[in-house]
Amino acid sequence: MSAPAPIAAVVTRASQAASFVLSAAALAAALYVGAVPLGRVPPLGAFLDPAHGIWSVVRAAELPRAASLRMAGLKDSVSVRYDDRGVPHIFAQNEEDLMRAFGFVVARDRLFQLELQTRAVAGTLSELLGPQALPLDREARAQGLAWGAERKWAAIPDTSSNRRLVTAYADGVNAYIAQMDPAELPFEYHLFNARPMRWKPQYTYYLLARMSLTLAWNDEELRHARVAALVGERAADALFPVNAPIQEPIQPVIGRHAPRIDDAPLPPPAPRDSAHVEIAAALDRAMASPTLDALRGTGGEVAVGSNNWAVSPRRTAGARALLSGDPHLQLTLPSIWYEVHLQVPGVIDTYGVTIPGGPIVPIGFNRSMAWTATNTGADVLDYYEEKVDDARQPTSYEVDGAWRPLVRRVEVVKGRRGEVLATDTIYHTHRGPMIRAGGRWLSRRWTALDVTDEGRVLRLANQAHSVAEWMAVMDDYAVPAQNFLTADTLGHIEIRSTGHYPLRGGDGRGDRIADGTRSASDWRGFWPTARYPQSEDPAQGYLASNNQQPIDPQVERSYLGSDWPAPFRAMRINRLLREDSAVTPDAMRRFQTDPTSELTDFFLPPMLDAVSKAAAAGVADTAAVRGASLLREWDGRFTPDNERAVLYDAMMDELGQRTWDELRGTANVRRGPTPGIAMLARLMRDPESVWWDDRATPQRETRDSLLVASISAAYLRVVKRYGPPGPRWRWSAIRTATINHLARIPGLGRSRIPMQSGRGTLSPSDGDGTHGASWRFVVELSPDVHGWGTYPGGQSGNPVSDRYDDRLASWSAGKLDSLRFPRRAADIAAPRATLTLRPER
Amino acid sequence: MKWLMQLVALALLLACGTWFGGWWLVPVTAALYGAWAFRQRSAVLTAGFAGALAWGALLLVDAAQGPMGRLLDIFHGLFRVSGGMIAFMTMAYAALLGASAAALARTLRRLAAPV
Repeated sequence: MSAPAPIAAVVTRASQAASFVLSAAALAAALYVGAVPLGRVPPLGAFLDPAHGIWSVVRAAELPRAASLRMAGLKDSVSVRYDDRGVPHIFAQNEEDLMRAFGFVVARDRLFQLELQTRAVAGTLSELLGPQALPLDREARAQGLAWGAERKWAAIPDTSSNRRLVTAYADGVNAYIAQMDPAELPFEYHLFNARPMRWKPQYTYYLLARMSLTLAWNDEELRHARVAALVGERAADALFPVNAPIQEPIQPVIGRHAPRIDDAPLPPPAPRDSAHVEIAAALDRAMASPTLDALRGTGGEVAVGSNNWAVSPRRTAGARALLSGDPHLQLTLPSIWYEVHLQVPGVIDTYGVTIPGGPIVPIGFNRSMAWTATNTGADVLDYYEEKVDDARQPTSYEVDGAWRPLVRRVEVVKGRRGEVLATDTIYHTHRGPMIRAGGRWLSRRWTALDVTDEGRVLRLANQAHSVAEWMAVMDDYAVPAQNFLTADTLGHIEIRSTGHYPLRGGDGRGDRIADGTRSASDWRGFWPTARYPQSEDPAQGYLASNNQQPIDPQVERSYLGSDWPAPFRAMRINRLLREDSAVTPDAMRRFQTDPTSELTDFFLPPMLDAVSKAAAAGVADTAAVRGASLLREWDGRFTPDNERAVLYDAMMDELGQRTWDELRGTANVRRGPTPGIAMLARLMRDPESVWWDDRATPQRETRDSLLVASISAAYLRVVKRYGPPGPRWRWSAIRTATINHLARIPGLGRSRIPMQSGRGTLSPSDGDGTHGASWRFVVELSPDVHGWGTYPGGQSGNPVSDRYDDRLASWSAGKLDSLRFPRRAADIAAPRATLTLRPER
Repeated sequence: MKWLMQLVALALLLACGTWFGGWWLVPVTAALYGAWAFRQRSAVLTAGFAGALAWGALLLVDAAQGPMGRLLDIFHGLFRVSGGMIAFMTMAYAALLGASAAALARTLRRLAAPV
């Protein structure tokens, strides 16, 4: 009877042991996935934790109605009132307090953006995102923008007010990070299993450097090398000319009301040049730099296109100056811009948009004036071919027969755990960092790397009281060169293409790789301000800029750049402003999304004419005739409900591809960049040019035969894709915007947003729709300055918040919100949220 | 009834532990419970249910304070599974943490106890 007991005990123990093993294994597995990241999957414990993990971002979607806290360094209390649009109005008693609160408020809404943008410049994305970001980091280090920003910061005197204010802004960012509730940790940090880094004051200069990369990176030299390899030197020069073939400059030409068109025939393409092919191939391999080439559609139009214009009081309905700003950039969520109102009594009272991380308002208005900018696109970056002592590990380079030592900069790129991913040595000549292209070494001279202080200049400009004062402050502005447009309550309007433009030796041109062995190749200084393209209170009563060549070369012959964007937007806005002698703020708004393109006039009538002639001669196919007949019904407007614009757009695509067949790549050289649409428009005036010939066919094509072939192919293509003419051809379903998340995280972007835009319209669009109007605003310079504006996104960086994308619908419809510009905190009657920051006891 | 009371009390403890401490307090608390209730056959099940219940309740707290629907939509775009599935996985993970920790503690306690 006693035997079963031990057996039972053994069985029990065995079962307990099995249970032990199973439960231990299950717990170990659960703890492992809870604590350790698996590939790109974050540790699940912290990630799924509903109190502190990704779910908690829901609790931070809306700002608390009323918050109050103490902040170190404040001298007085600061009141922040968020209006119904989520815009913070910061009321402080002194500038330092204002900057502290400004940093705090921006970090509260855009913390991840602050860090990501900074890391992109610093080349430390791999520390946040892992090794997949290594190529970007290495490229950023090679560009040297962070290196340049550190030099700028180091050159600012410790005692300067600018240094104090930028530091106060950084303190504000860090104060927010220090007091942040776990639920406030931005969504992206949960995904990447990361924590925010501390913000250093010099990061402000990193962000300014990033703007230079976006707006002042030119590599005409590399483009020229590639095109010259394919079609020869002369043709390359003609296809990407120093002076735009259609002149409608920013600085008005007195008495001229129509564009000046250069009708000189294009030189024929030359056989491929083997010397250039070798250079171009080496450069192609060495450089994966961001260039506008990537943004060009097949029609050669650059889809990025900013606009601004201002109207004198005598041409406005309200007898007040009006100003419109419409900068176009890559669209992201969260948006590049953050709207804010800054006030210190007697010092600053400014409203506008800021780039998170920059304690300035680069585009906006105050009680006296308004300002905005478009990109000048001047050539402020040159390449020099250097002669070095050792092609593999150089230590010196030769200038004027003497050897100079190279400066070495060692860049160590680290990963998420601090492990070293790459160590690169960057060599610097006195001109700038060098890159290696095959067996060649090229150094880069770029205004963005100069020791200048745009942060200080723009901050002072924010406080200017008149157009004249604003322009005087901006004399010191260097980079990125911008067409700054201003208007004030006194009724003045003024534009100036402001920035450092290099003075070069020889013919002054900077679109060739220069000889680095001669000091004569070096820059000799910069243009004096008086020579900048500019205009103040012109007789025509309005001013506009749209990235076109700023000054007619018949007025100023000096080299400023090359391959300027086509002036069709300028032609359109100038026409609209010329024809309206009583402009209203609402008309200014409508102009921003005007659906008509001046470009169409260059192509549509000749195409219809060519098809008619071909049909009469019996050589037009059915598709061409049908396509032309449909386009005859088109009103030429890119409105959302239009069902013909799609056909025109496809025709232009086809025409671009067929015309520039000479630029098809070779085994060694990539396809050459497509010449600008203005070049194609100019070519339209030369129907027999050899450039119309498709070299792949035995017969000789002319302009008209290519136009007929293009409309035929376009019709077939559109029918194949969208079916027979009908609702599926509606423009709103075809031309849409795509706004990706800043870090391209799926699910956080927005797509298929209808846009009233097309080729050559004031709101241009092309390709995948990832670029567009990043901030649209109109200001009426009445005694009580009134502004209207919007941008594609929202104030919050939290994708769960409705403030993340609450402006998309109105932006898509071309509407603007009325901007609140209160004089006192109490003027915001029903704030969406309030924040009171108090000094520490 | 006693089981239900235990379940609710444990869920409350786990929810508070998560809120004030962090996710790791789920296995720690569940292990303590497993050791305490080692004679109960249902201890492991109770801990698992309590984990899911605790985190489910915390998700409801989140939902009460913000636009949970938008977050579920984002999860759908991000992970290509429905947001509800991520919520279910969250509760399942808490259940796994609770049940496995309770089971291990209970087994150890039973191994240490005289047969």
